[in-house]
Amino acid sequence: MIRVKDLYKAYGNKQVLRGLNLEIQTGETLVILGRSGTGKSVLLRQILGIEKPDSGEIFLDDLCLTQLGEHALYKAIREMGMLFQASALFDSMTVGENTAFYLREHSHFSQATIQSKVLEALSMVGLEGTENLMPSNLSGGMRKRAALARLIVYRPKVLLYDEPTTGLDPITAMQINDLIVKTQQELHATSVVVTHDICSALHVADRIALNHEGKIVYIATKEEFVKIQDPLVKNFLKNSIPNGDLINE
Amino acid sequence: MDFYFYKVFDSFVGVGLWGILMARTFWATLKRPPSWNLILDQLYNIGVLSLPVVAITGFSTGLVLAAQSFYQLGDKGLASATGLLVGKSMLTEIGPVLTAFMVTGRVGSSMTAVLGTMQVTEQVDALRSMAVNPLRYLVAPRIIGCLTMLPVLTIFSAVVGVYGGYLISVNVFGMTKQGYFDPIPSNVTYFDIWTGIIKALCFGFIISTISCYKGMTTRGGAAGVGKSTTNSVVICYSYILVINFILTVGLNVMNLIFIERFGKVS
Repeated sequence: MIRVKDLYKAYGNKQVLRGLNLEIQTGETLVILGRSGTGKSVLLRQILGIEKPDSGEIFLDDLCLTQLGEHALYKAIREMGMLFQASALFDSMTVGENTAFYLREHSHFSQATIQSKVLEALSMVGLEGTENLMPSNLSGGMRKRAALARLIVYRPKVLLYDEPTTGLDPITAMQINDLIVKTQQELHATSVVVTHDICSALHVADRIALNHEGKIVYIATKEEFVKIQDPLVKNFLKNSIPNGDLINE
Repeated sequence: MDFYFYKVFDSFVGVGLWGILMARTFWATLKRPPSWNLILDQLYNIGVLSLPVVAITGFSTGLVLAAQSFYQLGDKGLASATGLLVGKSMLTEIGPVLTAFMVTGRVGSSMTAVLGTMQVTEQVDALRSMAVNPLRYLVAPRIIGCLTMLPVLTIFSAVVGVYGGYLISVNVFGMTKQGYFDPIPSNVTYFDIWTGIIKALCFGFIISTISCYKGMTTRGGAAGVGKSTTNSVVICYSYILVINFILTVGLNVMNLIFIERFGKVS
């Protein structure tokens, strides 16, 4: 379980997180919705320890990540992984090398085993035969899938997705959503998806949380979430899909 | 007035942050050293791939030094000091500084651009997300590469420079091989060699740490990468010139004190 307690983070004069509290249950997929600039991606970066909060605590099970030193933090986050908004593939490496990166750094598998795991991960995301291509040769959707392969190859227990469908056409976005669900079913991991794509949220979520001005103001199962009558939620849903009968979709 | 105050203040903050980054890199490297493959990559990139440009610079500088020495000293009956002048200059001053300049242009700028691009495209964050310390993975191998290869390149540049001076002195100015080379062994001391090596080590440290610091602190997309790269080259050049002066004076003073106490070693 991941527990976020009273998290504050500011950049200069701009206060982004304002006492954010959140509990993410083991094995669930929690989608965090919210307008741009409300600190959704910042929250993921705090969970992973990429940035330190100004105050507040983040627990992974009983381990307080925010109090760990650098070396201990790197040990603690070995079982976590993140899909970045712009994929963040290493552009000096091939797709295969990108996918093998974690295993080469942290495992004692033989080259042959790593190679077979890489091929398996690439085939899981539908990128067979691309292991020798450079990231610059891939389309946006393929880059996202390659980044997902790099993530699932080491089977992390916690998966963080930062805007996984942003900038993709609807069909590719749906493929990525399917892959998130498939990955969840295969790895039984705890997943946190940050997005403002309602379709994506309803497709992948077990629960949905709404981040408003740096705080979680609502959290509910997706069935309950679309029935919330609060103008904040209704506005968000209405403006995302103007005529949609959300839950039936 | 405020503008200049903030500029100076920013510079001090920058030096502080640079110090913190280097201390963290040192600590991370002590905890778990970078792999040999990463270090070998950097040794090849910094050392082997810089050989042509360093050779051209050293050779042409040797030619110019020898020609100038011959023309300036010849009419005073000191043409026989040409080889010595080229050797000493290449080893203690021009070799280390020009090599450092070449490496800054070829390697330092590329370090900042690569690390800066990785920073703004979240590749550095991706490393962290996979529990890989970017200071150990990206910065430490570059510092080790520069510290190792700068002295090698400096000595190489000096040797090529002396050879260039020899070619022009013998083939154009009619000096004999012995006339050019004989004064060198008896006058070039261990102090000169150590001066060249110590300067190269300091320059290697300056180039790698400033370039990596500027790269790792890049913000603001492509424009930010360009700005960081320009800044890092300008700062490296400035520091190399200032540190070169300090080292020249400092090492010579130390040498004089040493000779006074223990007598001449060479």
